[in-house]
Amino acid sequence: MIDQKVLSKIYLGAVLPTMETLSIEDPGASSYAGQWSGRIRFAVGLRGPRCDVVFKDSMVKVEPEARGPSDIYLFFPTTTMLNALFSGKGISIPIPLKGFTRLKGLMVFSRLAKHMEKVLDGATAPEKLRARLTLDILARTMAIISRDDPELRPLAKKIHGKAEFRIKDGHAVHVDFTRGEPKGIIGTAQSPDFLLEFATDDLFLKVSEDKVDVLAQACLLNIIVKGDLHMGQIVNVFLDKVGVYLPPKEVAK
Amino acid sequence: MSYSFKKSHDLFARAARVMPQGIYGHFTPVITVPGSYPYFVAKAKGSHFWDVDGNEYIDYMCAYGPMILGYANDKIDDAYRKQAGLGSCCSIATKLSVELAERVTRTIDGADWVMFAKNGADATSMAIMLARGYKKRTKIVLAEEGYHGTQAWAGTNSVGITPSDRADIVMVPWGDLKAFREVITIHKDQIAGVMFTPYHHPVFAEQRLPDPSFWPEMRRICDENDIVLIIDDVRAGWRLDLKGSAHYFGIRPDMACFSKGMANGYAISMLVGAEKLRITASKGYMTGSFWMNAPEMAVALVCLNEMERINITNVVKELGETLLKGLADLASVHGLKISITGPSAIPFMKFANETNFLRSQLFCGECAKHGVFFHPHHNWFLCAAHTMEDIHKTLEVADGGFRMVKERFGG
Repeated sequence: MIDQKVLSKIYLGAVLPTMETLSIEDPGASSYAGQWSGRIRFAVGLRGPRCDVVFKDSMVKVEPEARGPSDIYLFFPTTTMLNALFSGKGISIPIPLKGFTRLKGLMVFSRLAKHMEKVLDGATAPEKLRARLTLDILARTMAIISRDDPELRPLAKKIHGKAEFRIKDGHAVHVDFTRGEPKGIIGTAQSPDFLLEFATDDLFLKVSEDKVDVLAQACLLNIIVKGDLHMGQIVNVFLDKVGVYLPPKEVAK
Repeated sequence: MSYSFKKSHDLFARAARVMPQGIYGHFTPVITVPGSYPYFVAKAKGSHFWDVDGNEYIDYMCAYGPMILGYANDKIDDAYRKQAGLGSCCSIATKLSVELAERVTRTIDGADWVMFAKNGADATSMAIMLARGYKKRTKIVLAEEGYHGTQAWAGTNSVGITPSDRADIVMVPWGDLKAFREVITIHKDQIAGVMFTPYHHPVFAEQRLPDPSFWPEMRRICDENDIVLIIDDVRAGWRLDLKGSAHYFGIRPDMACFSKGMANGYAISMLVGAEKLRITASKGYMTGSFWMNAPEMAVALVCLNEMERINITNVVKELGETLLKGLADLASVHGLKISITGPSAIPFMKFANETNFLRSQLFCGECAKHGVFFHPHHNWFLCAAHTMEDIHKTLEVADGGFRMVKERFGG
């Protein structure tokens, strides 16, 4: 079951932040980002999820705190309306509390979002970048659903340690369940308790699209599974739930 | 010399094309250490098996329990062949079903009747149905991390299970009488039965024996609240006490489930019950195409006789004690801290200073590559075919495994 509030946190806290990497690593994205400077605020309700997307020097920064003045302020009365904007399903008409005359900023954001969609779809970017962005989304989403999904929160409390996901000789992310609230972190863990290592970017992308028999690939040593397999079983439940919130087609949005 | 597993891996590549996961369930190599373990067996005899690459192993998993007298035991296999020659799956029941039922009711403490099936899960499923039917109540109490099969109600799977499948299952920590009392209060007059293993043997965690007062108190609470007390003795059964593990721990359940070692590797399971549940059991329609197969029943009769003759529980207990003492001594020599829990015939070893099993995986992987088949995450099993020579050789290999752990982790 999808919790709309959790989904909006995923869009703002896991999907949008990939724009940062994209604007650094992808020339097309950087070019879009360079067309405007300013701050766009996304906010749901008075106390709901929010974040700022800051355009500066051809780069994008996503700030979860959303403090201070913004150039454009998009207020969504409900999480469902924000989610409709990102998923493209349903009606989403945010209330532009501020900056609705700054059309250029909105257009640049819209172009960049569409570009990101194509990159994640595999239409424009190399596999390596796509895998990296998808891994980042995965780690952040896992942390969010572990913290906030009503069904998974009790399960997350049963595990303790760090789960790392990485491409062999490539990008790595981890989710830290060690203390307090789970955190999705870009980069390797110092000493992961559970490790999933994919032989290639392509294999990881196929796994993320649910096109691979993971256990069979582990036996064929194309996926290395190591460490706390009990944690791995629970992490697997989280991974399945990531696919519910962001179905393979949706991941690409 | 370290083993290689090329044929296993090549065969697995074929398997993965035609079977989901290639090898599924508890036989999946993923829960061992892929790359350090064989995937396919070629033959087995006594306490040893040989993989498809020709590597030989001293096996401490005993097929996850069923092999209690040892692989390819002549008495057992002769009994099977003899009966199979007279027919296997037939259109009506055989005399053997009566003889085996009589033998079981004489052997198992508190077994006034018996129903045969094929797998442990058949027996556990029948047990909860009968418990519900007996008191016309819906809820069943199970222990967290307990294992009773892969049925929807048992909570093992995450695929294809709906909330309604588990709506009437109430979970409590194993051995927690306070939690059990609390759920009885919360679900007053709704709990039909409680099913626990005789001691706690979760995967990925240390085993836990019951406090002396636990089972008598459970019995008392169940009696006071009209709750059917079920022991799932599928895994531990026959290795602690031929009369049942419940007898070993000093109580008499209302029903108990058995399988695994019952016919030394041939497929048979059973649910036994107390007199008070006989009429309820008589009203149920429970069956399977192969539940009345005669050869497995012939084997079970021989197996029970043989286990009794050799005093199986003493044999596996003493072998286990020797093995575990040897492992503890070796670990100490290497300056490593290990924890050994559970009965010596069904022990679980892990490294005491870790929760992520990385040392266990290295240790067991090294042992497997040198001919000793331990499991890093699951309890082990001793069988009557293990010998002192096996154990001495095992300890030689384990010495190398501990050395590797010391070198890699420092302690």
